[in-house]
Amino acid sequence: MFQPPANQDDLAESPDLKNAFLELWNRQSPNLENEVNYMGDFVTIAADNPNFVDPRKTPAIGDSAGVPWNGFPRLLSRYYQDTTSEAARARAEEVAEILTPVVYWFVQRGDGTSLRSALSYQLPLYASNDLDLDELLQIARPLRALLPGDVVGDEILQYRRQQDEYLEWHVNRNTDGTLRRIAFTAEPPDYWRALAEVAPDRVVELYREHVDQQIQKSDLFYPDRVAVFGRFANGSHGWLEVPSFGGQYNALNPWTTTNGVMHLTHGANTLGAEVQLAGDASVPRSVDSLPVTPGQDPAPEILRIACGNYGGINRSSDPNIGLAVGNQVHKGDRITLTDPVGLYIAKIDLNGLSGPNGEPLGPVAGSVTRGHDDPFEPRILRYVVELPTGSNFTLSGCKFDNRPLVRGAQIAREATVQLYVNVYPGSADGNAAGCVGRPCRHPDNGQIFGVGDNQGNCPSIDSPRWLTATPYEGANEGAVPKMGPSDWQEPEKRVLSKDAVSVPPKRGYIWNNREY
Amino acid sequence: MADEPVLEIDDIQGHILVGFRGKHQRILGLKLGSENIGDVRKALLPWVGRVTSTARALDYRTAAKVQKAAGAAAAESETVLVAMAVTSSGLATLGAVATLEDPDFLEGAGKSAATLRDAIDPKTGVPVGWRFGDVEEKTPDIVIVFGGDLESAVSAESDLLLSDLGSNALKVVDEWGARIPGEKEHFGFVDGLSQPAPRGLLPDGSPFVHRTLPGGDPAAEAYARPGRPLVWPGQYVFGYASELADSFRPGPDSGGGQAFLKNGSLLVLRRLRQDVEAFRDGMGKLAGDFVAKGIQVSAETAAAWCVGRWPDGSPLTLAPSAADPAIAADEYLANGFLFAQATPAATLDLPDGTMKQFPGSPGDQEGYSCPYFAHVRKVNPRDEQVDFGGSGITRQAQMLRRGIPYGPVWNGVKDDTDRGLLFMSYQTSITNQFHRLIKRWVNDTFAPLRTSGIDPLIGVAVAPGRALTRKFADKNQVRTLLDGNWVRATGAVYAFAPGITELRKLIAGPTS
Repeated sequence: MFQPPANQDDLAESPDLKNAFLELWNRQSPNLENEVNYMGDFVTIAADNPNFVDPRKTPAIGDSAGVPWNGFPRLLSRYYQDTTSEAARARAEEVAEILTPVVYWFVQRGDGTSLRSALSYQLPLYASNDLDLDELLQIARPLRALLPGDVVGDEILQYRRQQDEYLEWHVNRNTDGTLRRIAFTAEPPDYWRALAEVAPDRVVELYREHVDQQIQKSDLFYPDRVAVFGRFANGSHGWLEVPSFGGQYNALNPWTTTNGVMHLTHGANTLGAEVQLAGDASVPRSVDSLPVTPGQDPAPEILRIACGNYGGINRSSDPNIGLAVGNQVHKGDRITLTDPVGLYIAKIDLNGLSGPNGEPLGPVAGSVTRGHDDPFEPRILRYVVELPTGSNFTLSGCKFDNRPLVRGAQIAREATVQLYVNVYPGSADGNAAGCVGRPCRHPDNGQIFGVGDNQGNCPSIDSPRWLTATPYEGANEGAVPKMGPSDWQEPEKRVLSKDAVSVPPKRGYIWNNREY
Repeated sequence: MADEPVLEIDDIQGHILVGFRGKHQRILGLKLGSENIGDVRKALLPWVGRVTSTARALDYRTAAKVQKAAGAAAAESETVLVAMAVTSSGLATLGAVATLEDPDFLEGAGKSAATLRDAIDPKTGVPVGWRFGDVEEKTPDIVIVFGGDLESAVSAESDLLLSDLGSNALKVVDEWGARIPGEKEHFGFVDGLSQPAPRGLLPDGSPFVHRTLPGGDPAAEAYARPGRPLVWPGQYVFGYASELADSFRPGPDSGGGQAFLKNGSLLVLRRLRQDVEAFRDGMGKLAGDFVAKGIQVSAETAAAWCVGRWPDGSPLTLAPSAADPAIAADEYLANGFLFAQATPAATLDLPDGTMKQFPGSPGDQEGYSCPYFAHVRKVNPRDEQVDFGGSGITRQAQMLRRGIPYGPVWNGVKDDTDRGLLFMSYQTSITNQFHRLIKRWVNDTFAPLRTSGIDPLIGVAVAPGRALTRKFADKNQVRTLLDGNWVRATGAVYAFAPGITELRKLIAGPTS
């Protein structure tokens, strides 16, 4: 059976729950519509991709190999060209810690109802002939609780981080604003959803242990009934209940977004995405056979990720993973992700942390609180930076790499994240697929890439597709769509539409505009 | 090449772009008396005229080559070349209005000891065992490097500067370096074979670094010769285009347009003590570990694996089993390789006008020939994908290295003699170049690529030892732990080497 990331044994005390968890984690139910199968997805992806092996069917031999990448969001480094000045460097770090609002909407059509979510500032990406941007801006808004009597209640505000290298962090501050603690995580939300499914109380316990002792269960789970706003088949707008959300674990709850961090929140930072990426990257591509000219431009990892249209082209992680997998396959080998499949902090280097009088704090300020360290195969899930109790200064009085410590992002620059791969020598299917796309550079900032079609047509400078390579810099009247219109009805008048049809049951959540 | 900038070779110091090839160097570090700064300025100003420009250093290098080619006995020149750099405290003492924003430079090298994993006092973070640069009292305001073939000439020149300054300066750094025959360092390995090639033109329009690849060769855009990448000069000299991570087009001016910075560079000086016996012991132990795991390897081979080259300089990528003197003797072969990909054959156009057939070289993507943990591969992954991105990241991170060994050559007898390397490098960002290489790559097990291991030559072992992974073509990979440190810092200074015009203004002070 596939194990959870780092073999984390959160249900050691309850063997029954542990069994239930493992069963859920490994469940493969391809016939159940819209079910999220966790590691069952792994099996499906392996079945679809001959070079991506199911290690339970064909056990891996030999040691795993790590594929590393730097934990600081490379997109932000590119966007702000942060090697050019201290100001640019600080700006990239500042933006890295801005959370982006998430909005939802539904559209009901004759043949069914779709539920979608998006980062609010990226809504232009979702406009279409059928649903133009003006209407989309009107209807897209946070989910709301549904109260007795079908009265629509408070907003369920949700945010995602812009930290997309499978590493996210949160800074806790003291009441006077000084830094108290920085927590880094590489835990995927997939694990926490599955854990919440079988052992919701254990989830609350763990949040209390690691994030904040005062957390209530209701903070972490959706209310019993949840409603989404959108457009009905007849063109009118109104609220619709989403039965599958009611009572479910809220993977974007405040304690893993605005008020703390327990697991990853970025839309692409999931185990499912990681597995999908490895599977996609294991498809041999025509570009793999092209002779590489020393100094070719664009570089092989950029060429390949555009060719296969997998992952985020501007990241450190995805091009790295894609090229590593692609090279291995091109060499003639098949690959798998080593069980326990996960994304792991390999190392966070705190040697640059010093106190007000130069006290070296590296050895005392960091601790692994979930997962484990190891010389060869570290699988750190959670790493906390905090001064020992009794320190007569705070982290705000410290320097990190000769700069005043003001953000967790400074430390993220010294983080290495990795996944582990096993290689099956010499059995690869070498039939190379053609390319789906080619890399394009943004006309104004040549360090930002997009993916154009295979004929060399690139998105125009005002194409909304560049939004996925554009950071969110915070609420800005002109640039960002408002979250919902300002003409709210009074709460007691916002009633669930009587002729509404409930959205069919779905498990899980929306990722990348795909419904699960 | 058409858009490469003309380098102001009369203003850029020669130590930066050309280096001092002479046999001897003396490095002086002086604290300047601030109470009598007028006298200091008066004494120092003539010495600015002695600072060697790039143009002068090029002339000197050409003359030396001509002499060598003519078969003349290596007549030792009396010429002494000079470089001058100023620390952040020096800028303050000299009343500089402008300064740099580089925080590592501003804090001084002593404040970076912890982050570079030097031995430090656990309470204060002050480096332990440093001859200079650890505390303010032992940090110079200016650093002057004298280089020449004759020790007596270097000595005379530097003593003259000291006597000119007299009691107006306190000497806190006085280090002598001397080349070891064969261009080796103290562990016995040829050093300095690989340097990036700064882009840029001489005033006559010819390239500063000769381009050997013919114009039609696609690699000619990116390489000066096989294995030696072209890098925009802003990475080494302020005031010029910098290197972008994902493009060969020029990036913004690394000096941000600041006049004060123009034609200057940042000097990292690190006195690295090398314990040759400990290194030899360590390599013997490493070999023993492999033998115990079924891999028959000698200590000499283990050492080559740790360096990435054999002692004669032939690279493991081209000579995996034994040194190859023919490759070592040919400067185009010795560094003519990449890792991720093979390097194609080419007809090279040499500086002397002759043509040379370059046979091409294999790659070594899997690390079968040159292990991922080898020093040369850790600090220069060449064309490989790295943890931050592609090879452009590596091009951004490289530095121009100008180090020279110090201390007597080890004669095989256990001794307590202080010997090592006066490491010097020039770059325009300590954070993104020198520090990135040491912190993110040398001292990290998992970077720049795959599970390589902490650099076994210069990286600091952490308990239980450097986690090294060695892959083999015909057998399973081997993991082993290598404990022991044989290189440690015994002094460091970060300084700014201005363009000569700005240096003159700085020393002269505000005009009355």
